[in-house]
Amino acid sequence: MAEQGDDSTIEHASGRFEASLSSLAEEDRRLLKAFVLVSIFTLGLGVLYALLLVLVKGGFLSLESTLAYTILTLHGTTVFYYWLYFVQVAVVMVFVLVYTDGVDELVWRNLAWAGFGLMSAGFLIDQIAPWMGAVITYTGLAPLSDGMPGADWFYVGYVLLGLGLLCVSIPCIATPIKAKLDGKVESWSSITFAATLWAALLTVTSFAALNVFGRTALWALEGGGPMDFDYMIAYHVMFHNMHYLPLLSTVLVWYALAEVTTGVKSIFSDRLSKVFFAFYLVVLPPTFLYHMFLDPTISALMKTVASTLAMFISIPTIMVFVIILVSLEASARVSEGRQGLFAWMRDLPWGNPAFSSIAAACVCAAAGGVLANILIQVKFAALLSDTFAIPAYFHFFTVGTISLTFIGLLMYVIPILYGRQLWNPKLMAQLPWALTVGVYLFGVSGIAAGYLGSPRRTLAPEYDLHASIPLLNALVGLGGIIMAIVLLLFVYGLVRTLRSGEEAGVGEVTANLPTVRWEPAEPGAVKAPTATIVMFVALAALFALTWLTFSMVGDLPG
Amino acid sequence: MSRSSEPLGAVLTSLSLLLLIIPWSLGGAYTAEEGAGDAHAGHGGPGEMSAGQFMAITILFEENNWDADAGIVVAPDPGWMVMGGERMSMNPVYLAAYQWGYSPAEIQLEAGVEYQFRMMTMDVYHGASVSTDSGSQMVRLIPGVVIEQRLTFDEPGEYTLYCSYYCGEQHNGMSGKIVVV
Amino acid sequence: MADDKGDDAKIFLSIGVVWIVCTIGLSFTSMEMFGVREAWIVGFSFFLLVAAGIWRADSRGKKDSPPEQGTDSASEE
Repeated sequence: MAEQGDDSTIEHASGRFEASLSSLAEEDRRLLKAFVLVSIFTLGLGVLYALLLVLVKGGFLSLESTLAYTILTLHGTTVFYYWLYFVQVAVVMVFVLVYTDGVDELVWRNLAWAGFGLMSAGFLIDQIAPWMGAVITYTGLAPLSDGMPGADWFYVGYVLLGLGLLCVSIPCIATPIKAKLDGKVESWSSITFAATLWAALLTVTSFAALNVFGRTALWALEGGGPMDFDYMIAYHVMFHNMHYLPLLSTVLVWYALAEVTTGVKSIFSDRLSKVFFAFYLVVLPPTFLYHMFLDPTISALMKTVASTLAMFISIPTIMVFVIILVSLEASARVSEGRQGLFAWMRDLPWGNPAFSSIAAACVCAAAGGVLANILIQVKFAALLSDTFAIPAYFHFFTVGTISLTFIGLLMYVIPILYGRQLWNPKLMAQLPWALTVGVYLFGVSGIAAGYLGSPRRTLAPEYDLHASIPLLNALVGLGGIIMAIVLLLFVYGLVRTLRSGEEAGVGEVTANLPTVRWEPAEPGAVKAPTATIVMFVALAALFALTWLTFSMVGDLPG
Repeated sequence: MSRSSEPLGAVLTSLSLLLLIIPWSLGGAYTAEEGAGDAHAGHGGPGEMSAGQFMAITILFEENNWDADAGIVVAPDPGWMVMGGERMSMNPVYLAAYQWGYSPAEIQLEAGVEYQFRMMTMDVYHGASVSTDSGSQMVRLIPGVVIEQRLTFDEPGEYTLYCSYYCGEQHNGMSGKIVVV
Repeated sequence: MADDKGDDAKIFLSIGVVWIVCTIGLSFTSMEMFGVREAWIVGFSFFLLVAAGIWRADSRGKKDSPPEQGTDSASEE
């Protein structure tokens, strides 16, 4: 890793992260800036599409059907495939470069640039293709796309994205390995390890993406017709991985930001953290079937097995969260000496917008986790699959947990890369909570609407469903408007920062982000009763709420 | 616990979730139900018949069960029998879905009677979900697959049949009606 | 406490083994799922490749000035 500056004047906890990131090679900083800029752009654009959609969904705006579904296609594509992946690549590169001893620069940087170019080309193509006629949602639904103008380009866009991701993943693996080869490090830090894990999974996922989208692009380019492969199954194998890549990188950001904002590292061994990060890849294969509960070609027995195995999906996130919470509490108690179950929490850096982001992300993840557990129960498939409950649930994760977490990290990365202090940190520290309100309103109303039968991907049904659905849709719309406004404020704040934030030198640029500086507790002196209680209460709630939901399943005709 | 044994201890703790999952599964929480739109019970699967064949049967079903006075297709008595250890309806209700409607578009059933619906999409993925006051019975139709679903409507009334799987530009209006008397 | 050298490779290897087991398990089911087996084969092959790469790097890494073990460099005091 690059020579670190004299940190004797850096008092705040984030000092070391700041010193390390700001001393990266100029070429690496340029690459990171490219990914960061496109990330912010795709986030802003995706949110603008979302704003139109929630206005339609809420009944506040009427759009012609094809136009509405074009925007739906653009929204999903832009945020899920482009915002989330441009920002994750930026995040993982930061971690590889900053947290790996002995790394001077990114290995095979030109390959990463090629990846950036391919991803950007894919993004541009996938912005145009829906307007040409490929109105097929971000899933790229086939055989629906058969004969649609622009469908071939749509899939080509995704192929370029897949190739781009393949190109960027390789340097992220090669760089830490080179550090070992050069004898600079014997055992990676847990953050480097997880970043390498993420990159390896991305490589594998890229192959799956190329398989499904490459085949479909060829099919579309050859004029369509009967498909000789099952697009939806091939898609879901890739899509399943695409869910867990962002979740893995999200908990990695929590792990890193907890340290950056409080000075606290895990009080457990690196090996423990590595094992739990590795769990994300371990639980992946057995669990992908929960996407297919409504598929009649899969037997009842396999659905039962799938539902059982899917329960394991929550383990890595819960365990990494526990490591962070226990470490924070134990260190807080040692450093601040407070008594009682919750008093130590007062000392957390709530005024730090990055910390506030990850704290709010955990609040959203709590709801997302409970809902995920409910939705993987096969008994609910006939009630909830293909309803609005699905997008209502996943926005807890995609927006409230994952996007919010990455935005939190950008509140450090952007100021450091550009040498400008974050714009209005007080406001930025409140925005995560405002976003959480919007996410909960959107999500809870949406779940209720879905429970009553409101279908997903149906923006303005022309028939009557349950009488309560229009009101619930209006609440969904209101929640969505709040989410969109807050996210646009985040984008504004980050753009203001990099364009006109107050210039500051190394050691000062993150000085306006309040931190605490706690000493890690010794492993033998860990006292974390709150974390222990929270763990048990959370697990009990997970099972109890799921069980309660079973009793809410009414009498369906089937 | 020493640091070197932390991972093993933690993994074992996590896997102890298995202790909860087994009774959870045995308690029937998971069990997918027979007739819930799957192929396991031998009621349909890929390649059983083509879309054209299914449509022909559906048209015949509509013609044979058209009630001119009521102006609606009236589902016949299901005629449940046990054959080869399996309970089957000798007069299933046929329903075809296509861009962008259903055939028959409206169908009359009798309250309290269990019907065997046999459904198929003629083109792309569709939904054939039914709205009730207790939520909707969600059904997904997959190209090339005949889906069977047993439905019993206890209360008379009109139930909306609708497409819950995005299927193109007129997806918003794709609906039918089930009239229960 | 420092992690053992070789931990990183071992964990990647373990992931590869789990994916192999899942792939074998899939072949015992009657499910015909296009592309799943192939995707998992690519998966475990790559993880094993990475594990091998890490192991080789660990074996061949020069030992002249190993840094502090098992710490995150950005938080090094």
